[in-house]
Formats: sequence, structure tokens, C-alpha cells
Amino acid sequence: MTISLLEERARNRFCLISGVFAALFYFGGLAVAGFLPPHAAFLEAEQISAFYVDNNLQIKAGMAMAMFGVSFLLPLIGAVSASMAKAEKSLHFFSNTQLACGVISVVGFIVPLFIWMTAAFRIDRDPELILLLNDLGWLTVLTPYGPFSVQIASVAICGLLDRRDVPLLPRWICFMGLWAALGGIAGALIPFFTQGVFAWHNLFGFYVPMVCINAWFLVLLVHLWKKPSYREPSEVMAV
Amino acid sequence: MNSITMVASNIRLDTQSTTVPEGGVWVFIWGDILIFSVFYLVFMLGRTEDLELFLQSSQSLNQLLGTINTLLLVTSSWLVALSVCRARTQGLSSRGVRIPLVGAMAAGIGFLVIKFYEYYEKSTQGISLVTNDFYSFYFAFTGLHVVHVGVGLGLLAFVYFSANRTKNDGTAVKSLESVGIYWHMVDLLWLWLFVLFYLVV
Repeated sequence: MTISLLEERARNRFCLISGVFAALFYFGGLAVAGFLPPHAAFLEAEQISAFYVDNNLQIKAGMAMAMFGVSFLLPLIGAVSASMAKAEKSLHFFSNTQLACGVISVVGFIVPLFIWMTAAFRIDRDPELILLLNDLGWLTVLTPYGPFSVQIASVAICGLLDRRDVPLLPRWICFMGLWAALGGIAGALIPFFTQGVFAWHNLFGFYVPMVCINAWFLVLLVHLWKKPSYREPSEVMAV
Repeated sequence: MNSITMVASNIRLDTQSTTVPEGGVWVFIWGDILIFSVFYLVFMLGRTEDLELFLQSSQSLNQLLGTINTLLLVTSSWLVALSVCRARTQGLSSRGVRIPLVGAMAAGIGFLVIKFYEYYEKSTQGISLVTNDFYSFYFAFTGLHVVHVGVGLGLLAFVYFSANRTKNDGTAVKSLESVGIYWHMVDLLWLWLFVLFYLVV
């Protein structure tokens, strides 16, 4: 039994709203905690530990908020994979890849939140230990660019291979995805620097990857909202 | 029918046999050029802050290998352009298309081999990513470019092998054109990096 186009559109939009909700809560939570923009990588143990002591309540509240929100990314990932599965005529190679990478990405968002929360949990700790946990959190969230790249690239490649009249995505959005997948690779340099443009708080460690990913995320959301292609063109015509 | 109208009708036939070019690929190209432009700016700013260090470090690079690599990539670009031109008239599976593609891939592999030898040479001199600002830029951005070359080689191989099996020549020529555009961009980005790191004194 099939559902009507209107129902399908409603479910799709529900998933998209869920994704927006996740982004707002995640970035909102980090902002409340004072983690946006990131702390400089060159700060010393006393400075970082003072930050965790002075903003203890905000950090815990912000982390809880981000953690609550970030799981709502999963329905969005599911919706994108569902649209991709429609585009793949045979076995669902790319939609499965996207789903798997998406789940890893969500874990990659959640784990650092736990680490920072742990750093804020006992503030009478040795400042060096707080610095360690702070480092661990930032490296965990910013360095593993691989799953993101593969996730974005699998959406893009699936779109490029889709030869239907109304494809999954317009081709320029696919190419923009490939750009975003490649553009943030400088994130791999984060472990080597505490200062300079490649450090985690600076241009190529943070801002360039952020702009690449989020610009694409935004374009993708707007397109999926306005012109979802989860139906064959003939079905769309019939309604 | 006089010769001019014959030529004219041939031209029309030619343009008809060519499919509409892939427009979306330019989003990728300009996006990538934007990232490298940002780098260009950052590098020049860093350079004005410590001119002495940048000049000194720049002279330690192997100018000869850099020049050979530039020639390799430019040749490779030319070979891809040649096979795109031929693909439009002769079809993708012809030898005239496939031989230049193999040449282009060989030149690309040669570029990688020389680049890795240069990295090796620097590392034996005790120079690495963290030696100073100049080398940070050098390793980071030639490294990012190496990733681009690797991706490009994969794409060339993809076009080469799918040319054998393809039933729809129009789509395949389109893919070859897009890969060609990408490969020219990789060439262009290298020319920028070559001028920045090896030549500017």
C-alpha cells in the first residue's frame, strides 16, 4: 500500500525540520557553553581551567542542550537516504553508505560533548587534566573529517548518477557537495598546530570547513524542502 | 554546393553532435579556486610579516624538480584537451582518444612520484610541516594539491575504462569534458603554487 503524495511530503518535511532543529540546538548549545568561536588551541592549562570554573553552569547546560538536539539529525539523514534509495534503481549502494557515515557523524558530534561535560563535572581537578579533556573534545569533533567527506560525496555521486527526468538533486548541488567534501580536508592538519592558520580555532582548521559544510547543508535543505524527488516524474504528474 | 556552405554545414553537424556541456561542474571549480585564493592571500600576508624567512626557505626548494613537475602537468593538461577534441568527433572508444588519456595519466603519476621524492628529500634534511611558517604553507597546500591530483587520476581512469563499455556516447563525452575541466583546474592551481613557493623572490 502506498501513501499519498501529500503524506509523503509531510513526512519528508518533518524530517527536514528535525534536521534544522538539531542544528539550532547543537550550535545554540555550544554558544551557550561559550564554545563558539572555539577556544584558541594555544591557551594554557590555567586559562582553560579558569574558563571551565567560571562558566561551569553554562557549560553543563549548553552541553546538555546540544546533546538533546543533535540526535534529531538522524531523521534528516534517514530522509536523505530514502530519497537516494529512490534514485538508485538497483541495490542501495550510496544510500546505505550515506546512512552509515551519517550515524558516525552523529556519534562524532555526541562524544566530544560528553568529554567536555566530563571536564566541567569536577572543577577541583588538576588544570592539566581539564586541558587534556578540552583538547580531546576539540580534536574529536574537528579532526575526523573522513566520514563527513564520504557522506557528502556519496549524496553527490548518487545525484550525479541519477538520470531520471527529475533527478535527486540538480547537478550543481552535487558538484557543490564534492567541493564541500574536498574543501575541509585541511582539517587533517589540526593535530600538527597550536598556532597559525591551520590550528583548530583558525581559518583552515575551523572556518573554511564550517563554511563549506554548512553552505552545502543549507542548499541541500532548501532544495529538499522545495523540490523533493522521492517520486517518479510520472507519479508526480498524475497527482 | 560551394565549399563555404559545405564547411558551414559541417560545422553545424559538429555542433549538433556535441552535447550541451555540463554547467554544474563550474560550481566546484570556482569553489575550489576560492579556497586556494584565500590561501594565496593568507600566504602573502604571512610573507610580508617575515620576508627574510620566506625568501630563505623558498631558496631551499628544488627549483629543477618544481620546473619538471610544472612541465609534466602542463603536458598532461594538453593531452587531456587533445582527447576531448578528438572524442567530440571520433567517439570515445577510438585510439586517438584513449592514447592521450593514458599519456595524461602517466604524466600525472610522474608528477606524484617527483612530488613525493621532494617531500622525502626535505624530510631527510630534517625539514617538515612544523619547521616554520613557510614550510607549513608549503606542505599543507602542495599536500592538498596532491590530493587533487590523486582524485584527478582516479577520474581519468574512470573515464578511460568507462569509454570501453559506454553505450551512450553523449553522456560519456560530457563526463570526459567535466574531468578535463577539473584536470585543467588542477594544473592552474599548481601553476599558482609553483609561482608562490618556487619563483617569487
